[in-house]
Amino acid sequence: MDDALGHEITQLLQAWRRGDEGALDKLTPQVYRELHLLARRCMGRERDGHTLQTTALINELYLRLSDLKLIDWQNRAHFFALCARQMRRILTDQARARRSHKRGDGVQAVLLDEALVVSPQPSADLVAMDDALNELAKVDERKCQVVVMRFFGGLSVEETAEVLKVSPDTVARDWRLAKAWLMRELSEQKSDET
Amino acid sequence: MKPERWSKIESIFHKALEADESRRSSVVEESCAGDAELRREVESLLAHHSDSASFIERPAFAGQVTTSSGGPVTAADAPRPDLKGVAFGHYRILEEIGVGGMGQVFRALDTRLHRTVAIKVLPSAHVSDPDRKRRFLQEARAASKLNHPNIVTLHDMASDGGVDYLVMEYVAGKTLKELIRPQGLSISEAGGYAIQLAGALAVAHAAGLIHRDIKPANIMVTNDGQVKVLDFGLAKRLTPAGADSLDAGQSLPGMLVGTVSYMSPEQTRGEPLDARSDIFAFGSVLYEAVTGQLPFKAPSLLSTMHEIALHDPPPPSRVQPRVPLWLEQIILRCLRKPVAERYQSMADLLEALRSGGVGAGPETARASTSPAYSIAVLPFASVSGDGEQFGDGLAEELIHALSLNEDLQVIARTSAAALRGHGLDIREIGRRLNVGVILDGSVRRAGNRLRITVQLIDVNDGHHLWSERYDREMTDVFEVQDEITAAIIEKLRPQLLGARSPSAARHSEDPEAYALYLKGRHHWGRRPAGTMEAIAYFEQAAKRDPTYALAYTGLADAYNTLASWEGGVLPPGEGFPKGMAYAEQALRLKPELAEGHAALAYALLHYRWEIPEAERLFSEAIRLNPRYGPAHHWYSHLLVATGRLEESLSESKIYLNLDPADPMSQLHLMWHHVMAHNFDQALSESGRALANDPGFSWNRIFQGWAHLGTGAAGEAEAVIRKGAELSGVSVHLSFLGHAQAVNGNRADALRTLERLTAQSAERYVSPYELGLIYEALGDHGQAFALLEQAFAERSPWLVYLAREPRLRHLHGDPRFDALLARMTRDFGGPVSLAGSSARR
Repeated sequence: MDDALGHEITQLLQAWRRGDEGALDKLTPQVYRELHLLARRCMGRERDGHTLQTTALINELYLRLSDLKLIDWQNRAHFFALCARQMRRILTDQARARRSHKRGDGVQAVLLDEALVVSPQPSADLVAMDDALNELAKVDERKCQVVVMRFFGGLSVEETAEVLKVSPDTVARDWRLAKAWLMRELSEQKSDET
Repeated sequence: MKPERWSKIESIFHKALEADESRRSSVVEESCAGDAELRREVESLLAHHSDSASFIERPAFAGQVTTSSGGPVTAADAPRPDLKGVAFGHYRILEEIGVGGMGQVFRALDTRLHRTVAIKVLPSAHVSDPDRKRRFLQEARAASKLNHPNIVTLHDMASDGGVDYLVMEYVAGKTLKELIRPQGLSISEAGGYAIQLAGALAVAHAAGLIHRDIKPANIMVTNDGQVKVLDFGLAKRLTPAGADSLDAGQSLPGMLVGTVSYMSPEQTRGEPLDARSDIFAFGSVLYEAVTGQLPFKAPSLLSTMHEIALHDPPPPSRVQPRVPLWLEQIILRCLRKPVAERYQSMADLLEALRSGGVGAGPETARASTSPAYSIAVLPFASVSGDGEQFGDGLAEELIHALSLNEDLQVIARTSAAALRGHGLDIREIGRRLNVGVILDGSVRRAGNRLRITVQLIDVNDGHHLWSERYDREMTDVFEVQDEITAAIIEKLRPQLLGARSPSAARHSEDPEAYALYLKGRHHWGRRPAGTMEAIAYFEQAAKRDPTYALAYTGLADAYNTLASWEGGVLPPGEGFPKGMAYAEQALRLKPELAEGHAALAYALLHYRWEIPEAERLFSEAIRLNPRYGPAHHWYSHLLVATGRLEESLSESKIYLNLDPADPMSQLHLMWHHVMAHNFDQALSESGRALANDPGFSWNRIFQGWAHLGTGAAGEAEAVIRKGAELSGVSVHLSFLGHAQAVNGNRADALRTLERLTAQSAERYVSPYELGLIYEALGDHGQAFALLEQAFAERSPWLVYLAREPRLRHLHGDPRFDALLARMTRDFGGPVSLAGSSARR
């Protein structure tokens, strides 16, 4: 991690730990940039015929952040939240790039996906999902967060509760409603298209 | 949308879902009160609720998951073609035998050589890229050169009609994943597989091939116990990147714990791998084989990686006490994070396993799923009147002696005793305790003469494996025990490896003192009712032999429990100092006693609130005797007090494993769930415990406690009333008063309060318990005054202040926070309560 960037990330993380929730929003693009650099570096290496795995990417990021002594086990919640947001960005951007590639609209995808072949669920339309989530955030920000943690981050109900500082019951209820809301939104989108 | 509108929608939505399906629409109709727009909104959400069991339940990065029944499903759930009878080259498909990340697997007939083979059809996407295909072929060529009895032979790789497939040796058997039991395999069984697996890997590594994906699902065991490693060098080539880590084994919806569990730290980072990565995975597999648990486990992919990257796994013997030290050291060395600190080659690892005494060869390994090496010793029936406790004692001594044999899984006394009382026949008892062999016997005592008969019974067929009669003088009691123990071990020896000669650990030369001690423990096990009698026996034992350390540990435990809720009849300031003094006396006499360490730690935790020192002592007790259940039980208490709930859960499970039918161990697991605020789980545990022992009042109290946690005050009051009626203990009455008040039965609550206040004139009633009733009645002033009083007298309840669900309404009240802060300060040391303050 280059020092200036590392320093900035450190400061944002500290602000976040002090309770400045806005810091997380600023942190997300910073870390994304860091991942981008990382992926490019990894591309350069001979990687045993493998592309960089999702798990590898997250772990690499994780180790880097913990190297900076920013993450210890007590605030792993912060790490989880960061990762979940990153996963949303990575997967959604990739899905958008694929879509524009298919349409042949000539947009050159300058993206991680050259290096990062993660394997999203084929059954999920992640672009539609991302749009629907943005809509959900307008209605109820926390429910949107719950979905990001659970769906993109793969976190359990308890871990999500730890991240969002609410009870697991609340997460379970939010999750239930958010899913119904999203399914409705997605099915409406689909019927709009046809 | 306005927030008020949204929260209205939300609450009706949940209300409707909580209602019975048949009542749902009327609930919505009523709640919407004629607001048609609102109703439409809620109904459309409800309509989509049912289809939300969809892709969203799985993490977005999960390319594929496994169903809870164990069969992997492809993400798209695409129907697979039925290929039965289809010919691939000269192979004819007979039946599908599995679907994996690599595609479908079939049993097929080789029509030329007339042999059965396994055929793996490769997913086209993975071999369509010519570069990939070339590399894959290269690897397959190398793998096909491996010729080892423990590696599945690759016969051929071919293509027919655009379908690529592998032809392999067909192996009938089960995967190691299917064979591993929840409590792990016996050391000899696991050792037998480990040697074969290590042998296979050593040969492959020498040929320059690494497996990359060693996991129980990739290890076949034939019906005669021969290990066959699958997918050598191929597995990782064929699974899509990212998805390969996610073919979850025990997944619940939304919870993926996949083969990332067996990855090495360097593997999760995508670094180049070498043989030492297989060694790490080997360590994980062996860990799971002997303990039944994964070394690194967490509810999600992220936290599993967190574990693999940064944390050391709990030593296997902590999870499964029968794991011997030498094997534990081997496993932990495989699991070192820096590659340079692991075994550097499979050959080194093989040597370590062999020098540990693990035998090789399929003849020693068993593939049976019934734990033939597990034994339960039933309390010896007494034929004449006063032999009863002696018989109990003899059984206990035998259990202890047998436990020293690491290949034998011995079920603890209480569990066996609990079942004996149910009038079940031996084979049924064996099945319930999940053991292969039962030792049963009787004692007849006439004056100073003893006649002991013993029989060993095979649970599967009720067959008598062996029986014997001993006539002895009372003074020979230890000799008789040694003799019987040695004879049993001798009988079982053909099936056991590395059996050690047992040496019973007893601490008094006076058999009478020993018998008195055993009687004391017998009564203490029935606390709180039996505690006073237990004290009398322990005192007599100590009187006969004043140097008898165990007798003092008995006294220590008895006084400690009298001063805490388990007994609840002595003020903390009276009971605990006695408990500590006795524990210290025991430790002066025998510094290596686990019992003494645990007793002292218990008092330090609950009375002195000296957490770090208590923790040190608990760890020491567990180190000294990993099978001593109470050490795990009480250590879990400390972990709850300090908010380390995952660790507490694992200690609670160890306690339960050591003594599965002991009502205390079941009760304790329930307590853990209540304190962890997993109320639903506590309730499901309580159902089981109640079925086993409906007369145990604490079960009902805890059930009520859990109901209070979920907000079901009516249910809480009902079950607590039953529990309190059964016992009449003041602790239970205070639970009743609290539940009555929460349930709105103010008058009843006040009556209970009066009853308790009247009791307190005659005997000790904890101010903490009274305080809880006032809290529920809404009199916070009085509640805090009583909590202060509890603080002043160092009530043992206070270490759980942050987690007490009955007090969560006080969170945020500055008086509560101040009290909590003072507790934290008094905890001293590095452990603090700060991280554990309840989340709700």
